[in-house]
Amino acid sequence: MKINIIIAYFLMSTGAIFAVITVLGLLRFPDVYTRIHAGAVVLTISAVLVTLGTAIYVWEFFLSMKVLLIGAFFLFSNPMATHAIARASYSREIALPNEYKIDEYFSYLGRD
Amino acid sequence: MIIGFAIFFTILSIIVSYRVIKGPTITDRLIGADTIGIFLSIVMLLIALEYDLYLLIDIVLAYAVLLFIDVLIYAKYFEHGELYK
Repeated sequence: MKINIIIAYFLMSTGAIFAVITVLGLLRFPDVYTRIHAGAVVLTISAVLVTLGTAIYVWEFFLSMKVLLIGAFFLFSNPMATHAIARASYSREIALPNEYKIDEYFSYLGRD
Repeated sequence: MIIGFAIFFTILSIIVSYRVIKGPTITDRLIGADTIGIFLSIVMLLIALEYDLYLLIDIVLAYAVLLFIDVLIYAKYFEHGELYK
């Protein structure tokens, strides 16, 4: 067994563990915004780890660069999409608590 | 071993579809659909690795871009009530 296969299996296993944490967070968190947090942070690092493991497993220049391009796109796109969903949900007053201690986003966004 | 990871991610995406079907609000459904899309792109990548179908990597790239644009369009339509203002 070569050394890059072992490193690739280690990265894929770590990504699978982060995926399990993502699913637990999506199923068990009590609020909408905490579920958004679970789907943003942990899912991003899981997808990036699995694509990095795939790029090390293939170990050929153009294919590895293509797979790394997919990983970099996940790293940039998933937090942006999740931020757009959270902003839309705040602006439409979906499942907000009744009062906040600090609400800086209200004066910035101007919820009506 | 690679196909085991693919089956594992498929089972995880089936579990997440519970949140899509029975989400209390529409935001839960959007987040669940986004998660299922990313898991399925990972499954396609692993299948391309197992069976030497390297054409599938290009399809995964196009699928990731389409998923991102799809979620952005849903969020903008959901925030403003219309797409073009």
